[in-house]
Amino acid sequence: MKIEADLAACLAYGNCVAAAPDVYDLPDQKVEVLLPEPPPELQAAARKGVRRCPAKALRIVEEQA
Amino acid sequence: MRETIAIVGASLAGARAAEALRDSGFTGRVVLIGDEPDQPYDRPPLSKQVLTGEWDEDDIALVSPQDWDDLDVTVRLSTRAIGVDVSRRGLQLDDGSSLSYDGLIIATGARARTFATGTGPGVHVLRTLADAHRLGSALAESGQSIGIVGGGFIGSEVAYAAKALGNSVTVLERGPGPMAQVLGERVAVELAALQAAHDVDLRTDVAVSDVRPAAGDGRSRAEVVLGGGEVMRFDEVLVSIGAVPNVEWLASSALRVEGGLVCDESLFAADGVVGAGDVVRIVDGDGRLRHRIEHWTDSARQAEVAAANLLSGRENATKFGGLGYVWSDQFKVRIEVIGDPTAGTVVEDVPGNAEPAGTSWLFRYARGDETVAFVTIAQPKVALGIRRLATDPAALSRLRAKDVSLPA
Repeated sequence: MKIEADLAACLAYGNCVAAAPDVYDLPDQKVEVLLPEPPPELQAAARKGVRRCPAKALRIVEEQA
Repeated sequence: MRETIAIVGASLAGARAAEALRDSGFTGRVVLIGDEPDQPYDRPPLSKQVLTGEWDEDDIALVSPQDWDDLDVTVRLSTRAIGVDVSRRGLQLDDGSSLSYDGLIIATGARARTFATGTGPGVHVLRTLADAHRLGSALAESGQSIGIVGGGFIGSEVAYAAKALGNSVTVLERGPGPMAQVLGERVAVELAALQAAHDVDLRTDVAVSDVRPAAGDGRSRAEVVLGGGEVMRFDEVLVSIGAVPNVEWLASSALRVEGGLVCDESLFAADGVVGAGDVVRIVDGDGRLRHRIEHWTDSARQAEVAAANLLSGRENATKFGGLGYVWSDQFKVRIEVIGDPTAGTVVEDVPGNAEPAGTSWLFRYARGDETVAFVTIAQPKVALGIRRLATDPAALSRLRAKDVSLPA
């Protein structure tokens, strides 16, 4: 799995961090993907972070990375 | 025959449920049924960027055309479910057809509440994209007088949008301040100050008995009838007095309907039937009915849980839990709600550092010794810190007992 962030779209709601704090952070009101290729045990949470983004700022660009 | 899961309701919960079914590896047929003509779209921008014209339909699509292809979901728009037979597992649709399913996800949401007269020329509600287009055109010409009946989330956000478009705005709120019903009086005081600072004419403790189109050809197209019989005239009026769950189509079904579709804590309404989103009313293990939740993040989370539970079956189901989260962007600040503030009262108010003083806050709500919610105004880092803490169950219980210092 590979995740990309669209920083221009990010509105800092923080739903990604609440879903997967090991994968995402919001250091300066913009998302930072800490683990763009999350290990298998974090992929379900990482996916929830993508799905729960109200600003559609996160995208799974590759399922099998 | 491949298994079929039907999803009734093509909005956030319905779309997220479809995704969650595929995420969980379901390879059968998924049919998504919605009564609106549009592909599933996001509603929060309707009271913000769509209203002010910054965003259009493409910006609020919940699922991109490419992702729809990947999901392999049959989407039936402009189609309304009018009945369900849960024992025979069949849906009746308003085009005269029926649909057999193996599993059913009910996500029919809610609609805008109105006064007796309903909507009409100059009288608006805001729930759908069509509503937003109609209200947006009405607000676009600046210098109008806009009345907003109901100072909740939608009313407050539209008040800001209408001001930003150069109109004069009067908010008529039945409680002691904006969003008082959910956030309580202490926070409503601060939100009233916020509206006053933006030149909104906020009238509190006002009872309104009807809103109706105005007679004659004058500029004022709508009139608001107050409880005492007095009539106020405005060029345009938004009625934002809450939402009504879309459950009428379930009336003759075997499902329990009581101010919403009653679901257990795992979101099952019956064997093979789960609910998600605004339509759902959860009944606790001890039989107590909770109030419906009408917020974005909870709807998305319920869709995930409902879809996973439908696939795993009732015996292996997980409960819908965790802290609720709600945001509202209005008057250039973000209000964030973590937990359920209606379950307690404000026991602590901590001013933030934003200038001028008194414009940023952290509020803690408790019932007895237990913290039940936090609300922040213009304190995004604090809100995120609390949510991050709450992802750790041990830290969450310490947070609830206030045995932990709050993130600064």
